[in-house]
Amino acid sequence: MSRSRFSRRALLSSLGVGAAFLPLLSSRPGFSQPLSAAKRFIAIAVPNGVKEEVYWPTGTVNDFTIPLDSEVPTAHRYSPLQPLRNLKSDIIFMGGLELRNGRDSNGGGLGGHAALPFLLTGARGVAGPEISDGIRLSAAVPSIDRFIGKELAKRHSLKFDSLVLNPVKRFRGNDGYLSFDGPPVGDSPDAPQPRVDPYQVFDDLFGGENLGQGEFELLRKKRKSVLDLVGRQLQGWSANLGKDDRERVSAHLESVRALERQLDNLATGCVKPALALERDADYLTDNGNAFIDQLIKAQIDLTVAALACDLTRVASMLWMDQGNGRLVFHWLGDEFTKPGTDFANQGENRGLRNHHEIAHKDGQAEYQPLMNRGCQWFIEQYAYLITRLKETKDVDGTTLLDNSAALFTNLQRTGGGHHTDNLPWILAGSCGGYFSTGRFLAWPSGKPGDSVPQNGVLAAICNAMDVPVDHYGDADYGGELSLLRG
Amino acid sequence: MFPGPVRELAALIQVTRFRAPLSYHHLLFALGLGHGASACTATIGGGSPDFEAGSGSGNGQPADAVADPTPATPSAWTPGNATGDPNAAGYMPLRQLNRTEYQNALSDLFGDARNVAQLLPGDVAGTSGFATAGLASDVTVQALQQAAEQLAKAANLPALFACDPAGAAEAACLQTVLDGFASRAYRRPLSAAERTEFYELYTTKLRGELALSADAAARVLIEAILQSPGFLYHWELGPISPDRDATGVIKLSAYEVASRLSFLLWSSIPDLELLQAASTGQLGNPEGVQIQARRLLASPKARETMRNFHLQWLEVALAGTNKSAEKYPNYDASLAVAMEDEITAFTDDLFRGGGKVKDLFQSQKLFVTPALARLYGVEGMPFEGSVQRMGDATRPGLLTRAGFLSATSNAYEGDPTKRGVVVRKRVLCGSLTPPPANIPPLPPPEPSLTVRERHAMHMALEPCKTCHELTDPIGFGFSNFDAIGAYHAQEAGRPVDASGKLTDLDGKSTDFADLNGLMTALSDSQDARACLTRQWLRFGFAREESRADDHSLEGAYQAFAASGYELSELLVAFATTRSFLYRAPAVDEVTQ
Repeated sequence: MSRSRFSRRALLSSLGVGAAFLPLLSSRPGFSQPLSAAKRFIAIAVPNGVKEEVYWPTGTVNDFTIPLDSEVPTAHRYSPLQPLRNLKSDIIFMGGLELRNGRDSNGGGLGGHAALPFLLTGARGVAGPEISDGIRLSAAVPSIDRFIGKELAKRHSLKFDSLVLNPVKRFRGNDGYLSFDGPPVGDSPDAPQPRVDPYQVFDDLFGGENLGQGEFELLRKKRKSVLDLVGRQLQGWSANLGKDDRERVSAHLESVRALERQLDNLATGCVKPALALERDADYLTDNGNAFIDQLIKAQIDLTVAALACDLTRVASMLWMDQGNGRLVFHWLGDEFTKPGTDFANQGENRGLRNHHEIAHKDGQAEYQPLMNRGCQWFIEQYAYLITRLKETKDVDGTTLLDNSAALFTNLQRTGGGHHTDNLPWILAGSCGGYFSTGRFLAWPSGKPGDSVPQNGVLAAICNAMDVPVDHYGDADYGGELSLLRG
Repeated sequence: MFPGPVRELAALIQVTRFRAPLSYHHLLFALGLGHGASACTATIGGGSPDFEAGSGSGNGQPADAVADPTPATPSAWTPGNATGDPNAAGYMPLRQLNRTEYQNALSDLFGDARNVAQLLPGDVAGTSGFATAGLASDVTVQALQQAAEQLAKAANLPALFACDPAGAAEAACLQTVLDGFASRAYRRPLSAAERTEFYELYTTKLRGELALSADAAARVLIEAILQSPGFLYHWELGPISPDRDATGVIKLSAYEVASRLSFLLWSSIPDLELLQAASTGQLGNPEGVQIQARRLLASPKARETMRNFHLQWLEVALAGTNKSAEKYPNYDASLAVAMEDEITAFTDDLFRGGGKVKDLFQSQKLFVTPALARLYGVEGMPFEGSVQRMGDATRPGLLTRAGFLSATSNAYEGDPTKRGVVVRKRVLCGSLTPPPANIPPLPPPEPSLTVRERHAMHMALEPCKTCHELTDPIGFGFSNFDAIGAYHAQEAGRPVDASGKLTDLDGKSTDFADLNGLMTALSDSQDARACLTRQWLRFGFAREESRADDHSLEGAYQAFAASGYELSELLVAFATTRSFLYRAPAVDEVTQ
């Protein structure tokens, strides 16, 4: 069994990070930057691909068209990007990316359903616990959201390294992680657990202020005294343990420190979002549940608030796992809640049509419009995020969107195949003027290998977020995609 | 623009990357090959050679070679064939209590069955094939805090501690808590340093600085104990460095052995009697360990492990699953619970009643609720408690329990491939290469075709055939059972054909004409017996077996065989193997 080459901490030195920016290895104290310069990054990932014929815009780089529903062939019925028509000037459509690192990790056999450890990491996989179908690979390096988030949180003493969100709890096994903190430690993926319950997230972000001042302060001190003891014990344990075991304890210790940091940070003077959905235990336990749309919306609202209140600078959202067998589009109409067939397997979706099944059958006349509507619905959520960011004023009069990069990715190219090339990703926001938005970039590919590795986008985002790198992930996939800057 | 060392490092990465553009795995598929243990192992080792080579900068291999490299080498054991050093023992990687263990430990400590483990993120699927705790992320640590606070708040302190911290003898009670409650939580006596730490927390910080009442301070003390590594980790050594013996392995302390025993057999912490056995030196020799192992197995608490092991072993996880409401209107969550309970009861009865491997695959005892009895078609037949014996031979053994059959089906019908895969991978410990991407779906259900017929294309096409030949013919033996495990004699208007073949790990096939034939073949299969031995090691140690375990596997297996393959004897024997009572030092571990 091969072991990871780098420890979690030594890892950063291999990412092409400039020597001045090795946060976990140095003991530089954090310094504050004025909020007007704050950059934010949000990453969203969705599986199962798209119908390329109607998903991609048409036109030229600077003059491109997103059709209306009424303008696409009737057999397709929906224009998936329609919700972005009025946001064209804020986006860059990048058509033709490839998870080259994923393809090279499994000799071409890697399906899109095992793509998550490769998506935001840009590195070939390392041996790890099984993620899917006997594929035993995991991320070799942190995903960019965690890499950027941790660095900025340390620099600016932020409450959270990043928000990792998912509308459902991880199903089972190891295949539901988008964000990674490094290579696996022994048997465990080194991936932060997603936050699910919006009410819990709300409490984590803003909580404590409902208690009386004295009461809250006492609770804080009690918790800190416990975490202090626990942290000291973990450090004491570390000294004699073997290498892998030390990594495990180190991860635990880091988490304890993160929780202490949350205790120290209060969200004062901050506009808290109203949560529209009713608290319900079902949405934490029911597969195929009918709350997903509300959960996603609530999580977007919480994300925007957390960014606006500078509790964190980074968020990631996975909707919802590598295949979405559990996602039934209850809210899109009767056609979506008919009984499913082939992928109504394992009974995860009340036996109903689900995203995975629809994607696999999207070549059939009945399912094609459903696929497009599903893709359109995801884009509606993305558009909602962009709009919220655009409506939220930042400290210096600009908008949150002006200072953000919101990346919408897909794991696969098309629904039926599991290819991870020719991927259509979208970037919204100029990230403080770094990116030149309002453009349609395309490298349509006939075959794998023609596409541009996603590493170029990952590196560009790191640079835009003021955590400079010369490449991200494996160096042989190239550095920043300078085309994104205009 | 960037410093020199970064570029050099980048160049270094570049060079090592191009060692092997095609993975071994890809090559095998291209050649239409792909089954057998070697391919599976090669995918991990050979498929990513870049990650094996030392770059000299902090890689996994120690600078000086470990005296006995076998803990890192894959196992080569087959029955009658153990190579390597008989004194070796495997690694004991540090791991947290998994969710089940955490919940059971707390239930035992507090006498309170409230489900706090549901606050925690789920376990990860370990390479052992059994769930293991993942790394402690910030969400995990916060959940641990919440769980600890909930339990501490609800605790009845005088009952929990056997003294009242708010009473007159506060200082004495504190000592009792550290000697009693904390010690039980830690599964060992606290060290002097640990006692001091907790004492300081309680006295100086909580009672002193924060001016909490004795009651409040005691509750915070509980919270601290429950969030500390001594409780959370399977490491009953604490932060001291262990002794190596002359052969280079570390002998586990009595308390470590006690914990290994209780987590193996009860999926929970030791009881007071077991801790006492540890403290009075009774666990220092195999005979003493055996006595305790038998006592633990005889206890009703062993049911927890029977449940935990068997549901995971056969990949039965029915919570939240659904079946077609049209075809199976009576399937609901309570039926799923009854199915899992039946597997628990069946195996518990087997292990504590002297059952043997043959009974595992052929016993016809049923453990049913009224709804399950209806499913099995046995309602109205005489019961002995909840045990029902069937007259005919339609349900031989554990693999014909509705729980297994339901878990290996989709929402509509049984899945012979899934059934065959679980039997091959989990019951025989065979391997299978992962399926390729872009598999076309099977033809949809049709009234005139049987499930077997619709799966025909698996055996007709390459590269499908190579793997499916090993799985589907096993699964066909279960053709009588639908998606919830109900029995049907007819399918598509014809008598069900449940013939097939069982291929062993050497590639030798045994044909069978019906389900009973399959179960007989499994009962007689040496692969299955050896596999059971391996699976209990994987479950007990939360890791795969290595070369250093080979002699331990052999020893346990021979004792198992000598007893006529009595299942409880396997566990008792396992508890006295070298790998159970000793461990190899971890890479870079500091030892005396």
